Amino acid sequence: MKKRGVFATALATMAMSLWTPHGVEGADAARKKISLRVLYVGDPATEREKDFVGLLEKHFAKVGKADLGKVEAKDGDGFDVVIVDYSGLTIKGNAIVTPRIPFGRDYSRPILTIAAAGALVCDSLGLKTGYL
Amino acid sequence: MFEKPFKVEPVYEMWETPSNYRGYPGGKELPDKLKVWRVQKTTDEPGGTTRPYGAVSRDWKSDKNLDAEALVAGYNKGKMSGAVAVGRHGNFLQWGFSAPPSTMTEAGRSFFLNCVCYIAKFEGKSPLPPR
Repeated sequence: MKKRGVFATALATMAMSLWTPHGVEGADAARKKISLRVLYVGDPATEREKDFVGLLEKHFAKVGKADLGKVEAKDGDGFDVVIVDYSGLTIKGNAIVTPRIPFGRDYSRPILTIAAAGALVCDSLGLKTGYL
Repeated sequence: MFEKPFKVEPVYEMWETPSNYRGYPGGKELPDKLKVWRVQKTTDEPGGTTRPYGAVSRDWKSDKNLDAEALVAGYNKGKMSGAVAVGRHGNFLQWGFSAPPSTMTEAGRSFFLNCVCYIAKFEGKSPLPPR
């Protein structure tokens, strides 16, 4: 397992002004379920899982869930996007322990990783989106 | 990503420029305050600490050769201005914010949902090897 000991915070900055929305996609479009199949991978039976899955079910056509500790790459079959979440960070000494995931750089399905654990996972895969 | 399928309507605030930004190239030229918007509901603690924490990557420019793009910078206390809070490399999109949906702002939730839709377009686009 790989360890890291840093991190930073949580607001999006002024760079956003470059992308401030101008056009309008009507509320009607947002109310319809989006024809995507999304798999949420996280800590089972937690409020956090319930929270994320609840939001996703409200907006996407199909939502599945899987246990981060047991998930396998093939569990993503049949889904368009896999979300990898991790509600807590395991800290040993002064370092954060990177969670194990079975999705490597050769995994072709779209993946969305979340927060510090996600950054650590990306880092372990040598991606730009890691802590680096 | 800020319009479809959900319109993202940020509420802007002016925040003190973190002192750590000053130590990086271009940091000394930054204004005293920066325009930010909250993606998640954070505490405002003395010293400018905000919780829950998120994560940012070092500033990197979008790179077509790597099929990587910086999507949103994150206000931070540990790295430089422009450090990436939401970015994509190949078929991986990193969402740097840690709050669950119930404690995201309305704009944050909309942006999160748009990110799910956005990364769905990158099926089969595994990250290219570093050059």
